[in-house]
Amino acid sequence: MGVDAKTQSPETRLKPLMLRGLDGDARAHAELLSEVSRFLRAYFGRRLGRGQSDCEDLVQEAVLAIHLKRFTYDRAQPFTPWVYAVARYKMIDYLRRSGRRTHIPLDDAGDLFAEESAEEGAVRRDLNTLLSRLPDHQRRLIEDVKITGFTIEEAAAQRGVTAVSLRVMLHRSLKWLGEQVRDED
Amino acid sequence: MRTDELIGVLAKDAPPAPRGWVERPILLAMLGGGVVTFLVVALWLGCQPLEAALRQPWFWMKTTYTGLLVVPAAGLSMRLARPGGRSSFAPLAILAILAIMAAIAARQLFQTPAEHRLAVWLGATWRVCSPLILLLSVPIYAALVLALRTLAPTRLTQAGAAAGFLAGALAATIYGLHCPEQGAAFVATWYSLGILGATALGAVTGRLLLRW
Repeated sequence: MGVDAKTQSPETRLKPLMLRGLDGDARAHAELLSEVSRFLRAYFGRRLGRGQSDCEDLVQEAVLAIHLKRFTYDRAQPFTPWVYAVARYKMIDYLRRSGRRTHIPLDDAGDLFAEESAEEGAVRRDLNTLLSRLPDHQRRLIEDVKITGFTIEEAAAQRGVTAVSLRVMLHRSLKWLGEQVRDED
Repeated sequence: MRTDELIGVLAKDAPPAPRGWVERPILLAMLGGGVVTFLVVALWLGCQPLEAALRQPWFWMKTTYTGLLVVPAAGLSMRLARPGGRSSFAPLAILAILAIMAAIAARQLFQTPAEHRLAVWLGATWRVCSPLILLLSVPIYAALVLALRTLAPTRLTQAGAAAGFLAGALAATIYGLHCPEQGAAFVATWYSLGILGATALGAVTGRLLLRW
């Protein structure tokens, strides 16, 4: 990321990443999720004002939701209101699930991108709340794929399945994970 | 798992995203739910003799009214299925159609001699019309709920109301195949009430059923 990237507005920086990710550019997709997670961390932290790990659970849920629902983004529209709507929805849902009644003021996408007071420490914390919702075989699949340098092809070879079917299994596991988050009360 | 690791996993699940996948499930739900509702009407209630009905202006009056409501309702459901999606002109279009229908109904009642007005307004089936439309909207609403859950509505009450309205308008259009009533005042009142009932059902259940 150059010096320029920091001075650009979130919209001009993030929308091209989103578009490239939607076209199948995995690197752009990862960069987008990583940039957005930084904004999410600061936003949830400001809104919830609670412990880091709690906040990071929500960041992971929101990142997963952004990933799973990325096809609902209309390429003709601005990106930041879309991602803000997902973030806000996931936060309200999270509060509802944890049985807290909190009033979330109606504000606009600017609120999510207000300032980047990212606590990088939180990223490095190992959080297993999200993964703990998965059954063993699915969790192992994700654990395998997450190890750096372990490609889809390698994980597939190890299991004796094709890369295509491993991709399908991975996508199903992630979708299932999203549903677990939703159905948890 | 750390968040950066999660992102690494997600990046491995990033094939090109399909286009048009917001509209498609909603259209499929309208089709699937509509077929179920049609079968209920055809097998349980029975249809009007179609060749004769197709030549009647009153048949087309009913179909046009409810069919016209389906169009903005479907557009509204598609908009609200996306995060941050707002209702645009669709509610205005719906209100305009309702207002025009109300004006046609008022004109009909105005032209009817006072002693016949009540009979024209109530027809022969006013008791069953609205409840039947509400009942017939359920399969379509259920299909729309399943479709919307694969999408990402963020205003659940609004999205539920829009889906209920759409289900009601489509159900009313299909119910028109059975319904023997011929009066604009009847349709404007009892059809609309049925659709309104379906809208209320959607508004109330949406925030529970549409979570994702």
